[in-house]
Amino acid sequence: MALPKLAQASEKSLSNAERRNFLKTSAMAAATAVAAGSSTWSLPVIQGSEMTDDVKWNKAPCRFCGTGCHVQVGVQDGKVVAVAGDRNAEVNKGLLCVKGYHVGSALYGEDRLKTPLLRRGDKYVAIPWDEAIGIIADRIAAAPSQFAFYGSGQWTIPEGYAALKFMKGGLGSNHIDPNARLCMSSAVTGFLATYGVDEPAGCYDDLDQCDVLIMWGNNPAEMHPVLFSRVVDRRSRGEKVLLIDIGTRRTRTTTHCNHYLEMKGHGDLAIANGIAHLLLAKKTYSEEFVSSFCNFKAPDDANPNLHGKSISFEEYAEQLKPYTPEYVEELSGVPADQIRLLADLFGNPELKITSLWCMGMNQHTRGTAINSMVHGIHLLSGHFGRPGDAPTSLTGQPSACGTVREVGTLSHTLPGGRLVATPEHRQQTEEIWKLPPGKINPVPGFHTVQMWESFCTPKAEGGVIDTIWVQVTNPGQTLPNLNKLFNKKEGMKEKFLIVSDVYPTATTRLADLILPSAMWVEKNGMFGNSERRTQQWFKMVEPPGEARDDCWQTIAVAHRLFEKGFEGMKDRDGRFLFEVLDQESKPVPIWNWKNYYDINVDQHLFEEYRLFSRLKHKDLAPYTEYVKARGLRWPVVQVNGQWTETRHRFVGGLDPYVSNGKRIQFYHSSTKDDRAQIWFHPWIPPAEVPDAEYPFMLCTGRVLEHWHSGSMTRRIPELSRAMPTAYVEMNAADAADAGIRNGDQVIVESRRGSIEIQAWIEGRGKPPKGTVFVPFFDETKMVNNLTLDAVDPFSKQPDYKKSAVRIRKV
Amino acid sequence: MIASLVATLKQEEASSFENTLNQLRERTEIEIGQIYGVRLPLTIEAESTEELEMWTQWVQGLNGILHVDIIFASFEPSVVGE
Repeated sequence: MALPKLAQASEKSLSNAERRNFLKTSAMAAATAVAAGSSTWSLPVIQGSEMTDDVKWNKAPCRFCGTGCHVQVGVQDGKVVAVAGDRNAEVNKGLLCVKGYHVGSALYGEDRLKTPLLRRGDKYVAIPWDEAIGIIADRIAAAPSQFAFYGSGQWTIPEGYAALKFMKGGLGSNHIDPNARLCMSSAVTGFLATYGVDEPAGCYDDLDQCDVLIMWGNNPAEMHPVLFSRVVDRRSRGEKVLLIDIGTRRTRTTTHCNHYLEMKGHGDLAIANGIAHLLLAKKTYSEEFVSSFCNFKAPDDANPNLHGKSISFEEYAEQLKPYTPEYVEELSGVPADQIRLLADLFGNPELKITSLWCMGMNQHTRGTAINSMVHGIHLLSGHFGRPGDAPTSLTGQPSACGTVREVGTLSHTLPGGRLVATPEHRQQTEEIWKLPPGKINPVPGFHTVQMWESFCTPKAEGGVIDTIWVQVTNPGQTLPNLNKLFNKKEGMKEKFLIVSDVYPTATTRLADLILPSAMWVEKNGMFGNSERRTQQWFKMVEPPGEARDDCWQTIAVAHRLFEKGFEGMKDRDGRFLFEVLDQESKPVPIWNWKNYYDINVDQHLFEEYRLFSRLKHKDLAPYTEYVKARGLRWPVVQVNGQWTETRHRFVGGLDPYVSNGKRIQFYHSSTKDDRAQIWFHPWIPPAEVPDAEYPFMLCTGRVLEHWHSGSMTRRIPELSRAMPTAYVEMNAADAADAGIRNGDQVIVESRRGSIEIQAWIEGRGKPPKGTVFVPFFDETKMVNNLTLDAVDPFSKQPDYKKSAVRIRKV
Repeated sequence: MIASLVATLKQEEASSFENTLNQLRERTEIEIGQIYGVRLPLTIEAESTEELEMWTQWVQGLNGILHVDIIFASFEPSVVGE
């Protein structure tokens, strides 16, 4: 569909009345295009006008969440002028959410960082790149073990791979961790504890085929709206899909659900046990599936570890005995009848059941446990392995899976599911990286909370980390308990914070050196989404001013160290660790910005990284295959000469690594017997619960219009105006008791800090009595001043969903 | 503020489409477009985000409406970063 004529007119010449009419017509055109099911339409998201045939279109994944929608990006005169949903993309089939439609505008905020800035006293001065690179190299060379790299699930795959190789191969240090530690590391440990290998067995196709969709602490109507629309679309076509929301507050997702099960924090642990209890009591579990494909596990309290201790079926059943529906009601707040409803659904082998979860189960001091337990219910009931029968975790960032979980940028991992603590894995990595034997440090580095705690602790008191380089994330807003883990840096002259970013943020506020970065289609890139789909795009426009690729920044510092004779940046033959050869086998000086795009550095890094992917059956195709596709789901293997993706893992006939004749094979089983582990974990209360002094339970999260800390979406006028500021969502009865009215300013305080914020009563979400919700997108309302830094014992992921607070009217 | 939405009408209540459309037509803040199957494009004009949210919820709450997708929250231009 062509653009409506009005939308092609110049906005500048319109009067106010005409302008409103113009806007309204454009808005209606956009909605009509979606309603008509057309995906060939384009929207004037940047200048709103002047669209001509000279616009050049190319594909890219959206920059925001982990869904992995593909967009078509329209470029004209060196600028992104339009964004449209990509109808050839299987993930979104041409649809986008409100953030996706505006993703192009994220490049054009007026305050883009355009030159390196060095703090001198209370001012920043512009410095040349050469000086900035030298400052970083000097600090690292002086004390490599005191340097840490803090990255992101928004790093592209090559960026993360380069940073990982820089640290673990170059410096021999494991002090690298990504912000994804804060959002999905409990999903990782849940998968590992259950299947012995990370990432979902199923994929988004399950949403098209399930009969029942259970959302565990998940609000996909706002956080993953395009995925949710796949299910809602099925219902609008007359298909029967039962939607169940298990949550701590009513959300937009609840509105569409057949059942809403309102639970207390940590109620999910009890609910999972209650379902398992009833499956055993009624003998509606799948005896055949369990006896063929499963073992049982419980925590090993004497020696706590991710793989626990083996228990018998009888011991498992004994542990579950107390979790009657009535006891579960007492623990979780969910009525016993609704526990029976869930158990009856799981006990029905005719149904196909998909579970979805995201931060509600991951940001949890028993995140590993609840992740494992939800997998366990699916295994116990045999709801696994058929398309539509799947336990599936979602991610919040575009490459939390691709760059963090697959590349292995966590402090204890290496690429391709390798671990620094395993000698064989270090040897494999040293071989691929051509390192001298023994170069990789066997001791895991600091995880995120440890890293920032060390950085914010004076050296004299044991704070060994003195320099952190942050790329593509905003810890000054997103770390928990900011007054402990970030704000203490202020005034600590012995500590040095380097921040690569595209805009000034809460993190750059305390930075000593700020580096301007290129973003999204200003550079080549690759992401990996929530369903194991690896995606690729090409640079389409130049970054502003002197902004440069994060990957180049890492390689430039590595080469400066190499020039200084730093041994770590040499391979075992004395060559530069990131050496790239041209077709005549001559090194390309990619550390010089003017030469960085002489060759496709992404392709070079990816082809090296790809060697690791085969070591744990996460095979990736050659780079050129991703250029042609809208992403491919690993393992990608050659079948009759064609690179072929895998939709469902561990299933005979669907997964190329399942042996012939086997229906299900968990070929990375931690018990080495091709079986998955069904876990028992007891219910325990949250790390902090409301009391007389702090009587409300605070939950934090996101909203539809903004993405994460809002550093991009708050600079997109349409999104910013739709949701200009954060708020505290309150229960109407609680508000009335405190004399708080809609719009009143209130102080929300915890044992760790306080914020002043506007109250919203009976707003978008509806928290039950005794609970409140605050979104974290607004850097003027730092809700993480309040949150707790208690972590899950295995994933080391903090719980942002349960902090005790009190509220008073200003 | 101007927003555009796509409302999905309930399949089982196709016969009462007209009733739902009439309820929408009665609101001067709301303009409806051409219906495609069960999908109805519409725009809402409001003075504030709160009002916009209220009208969105009102549409969502109508008996004949299954689901509402926000397509654009606003087309108003403004100074970026303000």
